[in-house]
Amino acid sequence: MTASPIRTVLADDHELMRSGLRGELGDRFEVVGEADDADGAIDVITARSPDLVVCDLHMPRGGGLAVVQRCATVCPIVILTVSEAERDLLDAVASGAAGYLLKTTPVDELRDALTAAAAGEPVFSPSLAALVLGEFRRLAKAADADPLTEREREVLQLVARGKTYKELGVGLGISPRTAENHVRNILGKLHLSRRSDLVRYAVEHGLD
Amino acid sequence: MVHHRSTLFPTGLTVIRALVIARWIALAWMIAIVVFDRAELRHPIVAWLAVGVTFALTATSTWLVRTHPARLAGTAFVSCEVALALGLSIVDGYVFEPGHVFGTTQSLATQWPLLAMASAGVALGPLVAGALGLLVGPAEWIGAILNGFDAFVPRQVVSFIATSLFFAAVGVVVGWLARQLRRVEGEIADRRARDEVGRVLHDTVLQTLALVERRTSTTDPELADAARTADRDLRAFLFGSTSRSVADLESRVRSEIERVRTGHTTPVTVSVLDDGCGLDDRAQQLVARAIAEAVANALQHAAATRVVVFVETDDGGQVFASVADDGVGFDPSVPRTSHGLDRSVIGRIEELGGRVEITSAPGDGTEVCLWTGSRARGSSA
Repeated sequence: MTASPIRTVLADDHELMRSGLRGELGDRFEVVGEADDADGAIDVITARSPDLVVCDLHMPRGGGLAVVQRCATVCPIVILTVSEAERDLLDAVASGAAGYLLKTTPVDELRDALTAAAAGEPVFSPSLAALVLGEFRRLAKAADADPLTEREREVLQLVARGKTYKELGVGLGISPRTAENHVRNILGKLHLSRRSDLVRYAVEHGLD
Repeated sequence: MVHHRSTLFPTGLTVIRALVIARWIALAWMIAIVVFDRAELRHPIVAWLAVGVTFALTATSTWLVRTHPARLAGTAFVSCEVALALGLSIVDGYVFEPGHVFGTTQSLATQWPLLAMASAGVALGPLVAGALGLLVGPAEWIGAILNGFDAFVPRQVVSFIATSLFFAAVGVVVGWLARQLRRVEGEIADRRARDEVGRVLHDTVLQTLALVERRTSTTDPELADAARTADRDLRAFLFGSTSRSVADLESRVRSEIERVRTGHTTPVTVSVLDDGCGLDDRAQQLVARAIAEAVANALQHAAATRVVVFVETDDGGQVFASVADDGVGFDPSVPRTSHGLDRSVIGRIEELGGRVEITSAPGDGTEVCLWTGSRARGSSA
């Protein structure tokens, strides 16, 4: 990790935010491209194929959701947002974002989380876990079948309570790696459930 | 102006447009009656004059709906229409041969009393429309007298009273529905406006505050603190209790936590999954206070870098809450005199018949878990 810096693309329509981030990221990251809207971000990501994208949720002409939908397979995308009360935040995560960070996240935590994201770990904050837990409950009620296993629900609840993978591994008698895999599976299921929602919507509305 | 604005709520406008079409149908119907029953007319010129006046009103309404739709709901137009409906009910008895009014043939007034009551209901409200509806019976009564009927035949009088009551009811019902719709649509419009304001503030001001907070946290702690406070107040307004009319568990928890957070810089993240809390207002308030006190305790004593609050309800409507910090922790086996949790948290929850569990170790943070109700163990692990 220390050998070569993480090649990062920053997408945010606030120039000040980008320059602030650029300064804060430090030596571990190398900013290889910047964009101030979704189209620009998609172009830069396609051209530079970075290791990591840090992308604002709301930008003119399409925000983080559009970027995630187009580029989630290229590299991990971490969504930056000013609040968790955003309707499309969960959509972005469900579409394949590696997670999200609040713009008020302290610098050290931000760097650590982004490093983990670049290494392919989901950035799964307690509030995101709670958001996902709530989403699955909604799905379970609507579909009358819970897509989550008992263990996955436990993992989600423990993450929502602020436990690290290590701590919740100890609590459940599993390794941190297994705990992380559970989180990955949960995100996969979220992704799938969202897609089947779309399929159902398309069928109901006669779209092909 | 204010009057016009208030009468022309979106559905009201739709009703008024629909009434224009209904007027043309009523006019056509009226002409058909005059043509087919022409043999029974004793004053055909008056009948055609009535048709002419009705046409004038119908044409005027068509013109108004294109140019000044608000005027269709104005007192002037509605008065004309009610007057026309009453006039036609009277003239009906005058233009036809005696015996017409209680005969099988159609009345010249056709649907006009109904249209007039619908207009009046939308434009003038249930009381006025209801009162105007009462006039239809007497108008028909006069028509019947002009048609040669005896004024005080009890069965006929009863019939006119029934007519009055019917049209009064139409006026009241339409007026009441219109009023309800106007209120609901007003609320929706207010809500939209508020959401729009919220969105704009969110996209601009919160972004800027977050930026100030980040950029000044090391160089200018005071400014960073000011930005944090402004950020918090704005959030509380946009997402918090002030934007909800009904206090629910989430807004209670958030506002109680906001109260104890003041003056502390440690970030506190709060997640509430409320799938239907079964506790009454007082119990919800107690739980919210207990949670907030646990947060206050963490902020004051734990020297934590973050505090995570998680609240959920179970199928039975009972509450589970966890307040976790990554601070200094303590050894729970060592008796302690004042770590603040005993009375403020445990006392409140035990009052509700619930229980509290504290997990901690020196250097390893603290988690306070609380359950309301007597369930042995909540959905926690």
